[in-house]
Formats: sequence, C-alpha cells, structure tokens
Amino acid sequence: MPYEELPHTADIRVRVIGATHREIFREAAQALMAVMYGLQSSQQTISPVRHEVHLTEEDTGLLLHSFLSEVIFLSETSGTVFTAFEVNVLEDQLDAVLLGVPFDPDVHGMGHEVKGVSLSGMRILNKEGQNVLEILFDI
Amino acid sequence: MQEGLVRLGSLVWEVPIGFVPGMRVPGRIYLSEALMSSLEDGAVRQLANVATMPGIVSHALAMPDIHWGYGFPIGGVAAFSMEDGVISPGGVGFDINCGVRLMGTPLVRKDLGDVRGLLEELYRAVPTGVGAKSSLRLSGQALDAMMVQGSSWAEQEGYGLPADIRRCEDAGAMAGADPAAVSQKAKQRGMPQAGTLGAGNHFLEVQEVKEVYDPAAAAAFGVREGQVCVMVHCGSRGLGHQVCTDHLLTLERAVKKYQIALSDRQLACAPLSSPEGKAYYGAMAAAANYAWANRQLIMHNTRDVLRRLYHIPHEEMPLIYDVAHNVAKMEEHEVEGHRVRLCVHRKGATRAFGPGREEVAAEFRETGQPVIIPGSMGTSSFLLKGTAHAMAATFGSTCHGAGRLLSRTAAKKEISGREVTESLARNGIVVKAPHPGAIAEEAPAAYKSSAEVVRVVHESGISLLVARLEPIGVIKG
Repeated sequence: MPYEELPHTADIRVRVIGATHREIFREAAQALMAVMYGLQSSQQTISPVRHEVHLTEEDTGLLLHSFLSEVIFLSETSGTVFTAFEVNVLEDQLDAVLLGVPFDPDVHGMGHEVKGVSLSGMRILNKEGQNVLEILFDI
Repeated sequence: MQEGLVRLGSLVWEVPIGFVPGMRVPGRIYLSEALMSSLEDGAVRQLANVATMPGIVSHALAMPDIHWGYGFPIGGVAAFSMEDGVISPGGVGFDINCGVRLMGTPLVRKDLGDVRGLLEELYRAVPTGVGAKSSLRLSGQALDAMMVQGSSWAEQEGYGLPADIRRCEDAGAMAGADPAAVSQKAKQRGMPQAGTLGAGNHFLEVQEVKEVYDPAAAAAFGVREGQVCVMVHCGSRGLGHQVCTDHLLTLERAVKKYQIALSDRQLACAPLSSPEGKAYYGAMAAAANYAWANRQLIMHNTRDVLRRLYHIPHEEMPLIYDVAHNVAKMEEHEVEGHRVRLCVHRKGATRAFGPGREEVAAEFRETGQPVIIPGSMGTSSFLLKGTAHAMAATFGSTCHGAGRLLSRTAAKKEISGREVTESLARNGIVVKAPHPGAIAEEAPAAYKSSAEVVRVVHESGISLLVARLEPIGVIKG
C-alpha cells in the first residue's frame, strides 16, 4: 500500500500501514525513496544494484530508525535509488536486501534531500490488527 | 492569541513557568500580532519543553520566525551553564551550521546584461540539487584538515582570499573540532559534496542593494545602494546530517545513563562535561567548519564565473560576512551581573553580537557584527547589525529568515512551479532550479513575510536594519 503524506509545515510526515513489522519497514523504506527521488510506482523496474544490511538495536523504533538512516547513507554514497526491499525483522534484529538502480538526475532529480529520520517523530501503533507507522523525514 | 502566553511588551511574550510541567525558566517569544496568527501550538510547546532542560540559564528564547522543528522550535535560542548544563543536537538541527554568506561586487544591475545567461553559468559552476556531486576530489587527510580549519583550509588551498577569513563568524572555524568524533560514514558522505549547494531551501541568489537604512554601518560593511551582491545559503551537507544522526543515538542512550528527565525525546542531550557531550561538540564543530569551507568553495566558484563574464578580479568581490544559524557555541555572556561562559544553542537563529565584542572582526567592532537575514525565494533579504540590547536580552541572537507558513504539499497544491516562475519573471526575477516542484515548494506564499520578521527584531532592538536587498536571479537547490 502506498504511503500517505500527513500535514507538516517544515518537514515531511508520512503514514504507512502493514500487517507485520516486516511490511512497515519495507513500506517506510519505499516511502523514503519516493520522498528522496520523487519516485512513482511505475518507475520501479529491474533493479541491478544490490546491498545487504544487517542491524541489531535495543527496540523496534531504534531498529527502524537505524534501518532508514542506513538506507539514506547507502543511497547517497553509492548513488543508488533503491526500488525494492526484502526485509526480515526478528525482535531486535534486521536483515535486509536492498535492490536499486543507479541515480539518474533526469529521472530521480525531482525529490527532496532528506537530512535525517526523526527518532521521536516515529510512532508505531496497532490498529485493528494492522501496524500503523507515522514517521517524520527532516528535509 | 495563544492561550497561556503573557504579553510583556508590544513585541515580547512570555511562556510562563508551568506552561508544561518541569520548566526551570520561562520562555520568551519575540512576535508581532501579525505573526501571532501563524504561531503553531506545537512550536510554543517545544519552546516550553526546552525550558525544562538541565542547566538552562535565564530564558528559553524564540525569534519571530519561530516554527515547529525537531527538538527545539526553529528560531529557538537557549544557553546552558558549563557546570550543570547540557548539549543537544535537537538545539542545532540536522544541518549543522546551515548559514548564509553575502559577497559584494563592483557591479550594478545594468552591468549584468543577460541574467539568465549568468544564472546558467553559475548553475554549471555550483553543483545543485539532489544527488549533485562536487568536481573536487578530497583525500581523507584533506577532509580532516577542512573539518579543523574551516574557511582557512579552503583559502590556503587557493579557494579564497586571506581577507575572507576574518569576515566569517568565528573566522570560519570553531575551536574544538574533533574529526575523530566524526564517523567514517559522515566522512564518506562529506567527501564528494564539498562545494555543493544541496537542495530544499538552500540557494544562491544574485541580489541588488535596494535601500540603505543605516549609511554609516553600510559603509563599514562595504555595502552601497545599487550594488550587486551574491548571497549563498547552505550548510554542512551529508556530513553534518550524518553527524546529527550518529550522535542522536549516542545521546539518546546518554539520557538514560545520566538519568536526565526530558519532556520530549527529541531533546536528547548529555551533560556538557560528559564524554558523550564532548564527543558531540567535537563532531558538531567539525561539521560546522566543513560548512564554512563549503560556503567558501561556493563563493570561490561564483567569483570565477563573475571574473570570466565581467572581467572583475576576485579582490574586487569582497566577502561582506558569513553567519551560522544552526549551531551550539561556547560564549561569554553577562548573567545577573556576572560574566559567565555558556553553551549557546541557536537553532534557526543568528548570532547578533553588538559593538565591542572581541569575537567580531576589528572593522565591525564599532558597528556591531553584520547579520544576514535571507528572504524566501523572490522576496527581500536584509542586512542588519548586532546590538548591545541583543547581548543583554537574547544572548546576542536574532532571527534567521522568513520561517515556513505552508507545508510543501500545500504550497504545491496552491501554485505550480511554472506560475511562480512566471510571476517572479514579471517582477524581473529569473529563477533556475533542478525541477519546477522545487520552485513551487519554495514559493513566496509558503513563507512568512521576511519584512515582518525583520521589523520585529529591529523594533525590539535585538538587531538593527542596515540595508535591504532584492533578488535579481535565484538558483534554487
């Protein structure tokens, strides 16, 4: 399910919904890429670049924060726009494979530079069996 | 009017102790009635939360461009005691030493000729927008030197003039920078971005000095009516963003370790005397120095373009001043009759030191330091001077800009990039940006009036107007 943008004056606040933590991690990363590179779903094609991420943190919030921060770091330093995420979350541990395409300013230059992911602006709620995540990207 | 605020004067409001539980000092907001209508509840609450932090001195302050931010409100200022105070990335922001510099030229508007052509040349010379990379190839050693020496590093490498250095706040380099406290990740992000403008509200603008309010100060600053100037607004790029991300996690843990009671997790902090607090300070200062070098590199590339197009030597394009507006610094201030050393956080606020301060370059010691307040795209920017009143009332601080009014989404819904470009063109302003969306989001209607923000700081005496500059051509990041 695509992310929903919530009102915020200075930054970008988004909501994603998923049945599992794994899903909301994946959707949050997709939302991050959409914000950073102005991606449309139709632009998600073959993804020749591959990165792996392995993280351990104290709780789910910190794990998600570290994961998204790592996605920003890898995207910026490797010049990759990630278009697909295979994420496994087990309690305080995350293993992910990030698939992407090389950054092309003509295709991916329509987004925002995300400076960071707000740790405290993050809320994970359980509503009617669904995980609802709200997250703030500082831009 | 916001419920719970107490009016202290025509332009000053107090957030009384008790507005939120645990406040150690009151909050104080500089605001006009016109700006009160756009004051967000969240921003006032954030200011009140700042007032709960350990070791805060005197007041938690907010400038008239206050709006909801991360941790501190944007426009927030707070000073902490060196003995029992704290340092917090939430009081600095992700873009460490985001700041502004203003460079003079010997040109007047009619000398520019084809402004569109000039902007195209500048756009080629200054990498701009998401994913832009520098042509400069830095070694790890050079990056470390840049993080310690700031503007001086750039000047010594041939990207500037010796006179540029003293015309930067802190001579373009904060003491205490510690590259060892900057992660490899941050360094990896910083290396290819030196000399890049970035995106969002960052810009490079060709401006004309339209009106001088204080001829003596303008003469001291080297500014005259009709003069073409160039303003650069940017910060520490991915390096600074990563420093903030890394140290937020460390300080989040420090809050538990030192049992600091916080009313908002975004205010994660550590005692100034703790290893965690010192490491953040060292890394933040390193990122701040990177930002000063970054603006120096951008100015050098701008000078090269102007030299090529208009045959002006670099020496005839002096730096007027460079100010930081996202930083925490050790400064001496008078508190209750005693001169004390404090850690002053300015988050979307500008230092505005008055006459006589030794930190300010000798040529500005009589007038007070130059203060540069950028407008939003297509609107006036202002040059002001610091005052003795600011030293007494705001730890030598003033506003930093216009302050956002509309979200980016709302701005884009209201007006298209093309409409904004056409409307600016009707006023003789040329805009160049990576994509039309970047223009729509930064449309003048998305911001508070910079003129009203500046009126408030001028009339309340925390800085005084020297000159108004109007845009001729804008490169949006």
